Amino acid sequence: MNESELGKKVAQLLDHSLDNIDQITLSRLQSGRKASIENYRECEMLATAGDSPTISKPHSPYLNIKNILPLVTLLLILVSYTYWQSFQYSDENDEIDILLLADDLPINAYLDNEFDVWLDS
Amino acid sequence: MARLLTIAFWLFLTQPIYAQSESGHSWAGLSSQEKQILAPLAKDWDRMDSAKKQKWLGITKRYPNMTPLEQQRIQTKISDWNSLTPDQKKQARKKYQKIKNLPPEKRLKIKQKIKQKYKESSRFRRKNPK
Repeated sequence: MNESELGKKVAQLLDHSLDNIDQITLSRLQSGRKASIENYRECEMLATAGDSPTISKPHSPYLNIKNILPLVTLLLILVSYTYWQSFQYSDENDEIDILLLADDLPINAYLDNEFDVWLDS
Repeated sequence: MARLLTIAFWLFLTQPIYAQSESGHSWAGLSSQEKQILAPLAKDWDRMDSAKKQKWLGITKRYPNMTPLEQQRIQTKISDWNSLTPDQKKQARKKYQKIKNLPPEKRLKIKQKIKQKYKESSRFRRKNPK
């Protein structure tokens, strides 16, 4: 008997045994199959929710937005703060400058070394 | 991520430079009233940065509501003020605020003393020109 004939005979025997399998063995086989499928699904869920999301979904647009969002927020805060500060500083100075220019003292007086002496007199 | 952070900070740091290099408002583009008020700055106007121009244009908007005496003072001081360094301006502002915060009587007395000194020195300069 060559290898091919032997294989056919084994397959026939297995098919025959499958048809005559008893109910208890069949239900044990079914529950074993079901348990192993459930185990496989649990493992897959753990992998996708784990520390390396890029392994399961490397090009997800949601992940890109998630990475960039803090950076964009930080940039917006920095730019807003700078604008707010520069406008406030400039407004304060403009107001003083107008008053100073419209004042009756000459500008040189404010730069005079004797100014503090006059104030203390 | 590190590259994005670098680009973001570079943009953040260079943003004021771009804002200042934009000079806007040429002298020729000013209204006749603005030109009249800012006449002492005519020569330097086109070389000024945008922030300075905005500041002087802001003054021209308030100018019509000032008294003729205040308007005259501003006209005579514009050029001197524009020629000061940022440090000198800072010093002048600080001292203006010091004198402004004094009690009215003391302020008046000190101002009279200062004005007297400057009158005398200008009289001296007129009598003894270089």
